[in-house]
Amino acid sequence: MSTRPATSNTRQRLARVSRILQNVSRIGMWLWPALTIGGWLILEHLPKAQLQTLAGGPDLGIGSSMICDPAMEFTITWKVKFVGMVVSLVPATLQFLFMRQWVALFGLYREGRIFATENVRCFARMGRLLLGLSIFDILLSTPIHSLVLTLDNPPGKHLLSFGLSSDHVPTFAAGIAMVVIAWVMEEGCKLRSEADLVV
Amino acid sequence: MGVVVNLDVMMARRKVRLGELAARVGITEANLSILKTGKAKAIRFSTLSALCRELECQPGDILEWRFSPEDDADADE
Repeated sequence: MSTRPATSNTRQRLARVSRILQNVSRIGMWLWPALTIGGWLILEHLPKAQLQTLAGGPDLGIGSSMICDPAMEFTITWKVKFVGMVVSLVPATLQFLFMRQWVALFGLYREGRIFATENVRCFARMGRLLLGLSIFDILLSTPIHSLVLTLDNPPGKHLLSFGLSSDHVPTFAAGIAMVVIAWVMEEGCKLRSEADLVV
Repeated sequence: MGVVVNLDVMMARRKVRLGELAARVGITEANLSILKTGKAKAIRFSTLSALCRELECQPGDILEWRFSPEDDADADE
């Protein structure tokens, strides 16, 4: 009752595309934490330059602007790897939950539910997760990762970095946009349910 | 209570069934049921006109206003 059926042709195309995107999202959902863990496991095998820019993972939270000193050495031990992995699993979990919402959203589209309250809920959750992710990236990621990477360095060689990068802006903006979209969609759903009761 | 829909009374008087009336008026049975059970938020003039035509009645035979304390509270505001 809450969603009017789209034309069958469009609906079939939407279902087909949604099925593909749902499967891609499902793969991405598991791939992200796996790459994060994998990145930390092979940390010592990565080139130093990459270690300084990416810290050896898909996105382990260290930007190139963070570690300025090219002579900075990293003592990579299992302790460093483990602590780094645990810390990186926080944003990875947020990303996992974000992708799970994508899977759920494409599942709804696949069923032909394109303007229901469940869709609104998915958008709202995705927005909040993106905001959480960007706030973690902006405030905590760089200092924590810099500290973890130099955890086993000799005294005087530890590093605590703070940095802001324009890379964080799109994620933050996307998070706000998604929350606002969810808000607008919620109002739209209310209007639609009222319109459904106009005979 | 506000506006009360007396469609069921008129349908009983004219001895017409829901499906038949919906087809004659040109709306779905589900929508006519919403109207009949009083769940509707609004009714289009075109629907009301078609109902009056098919049931051979006036809008006042289908819709009726009854006093409710809520209306009184609205008036005070």
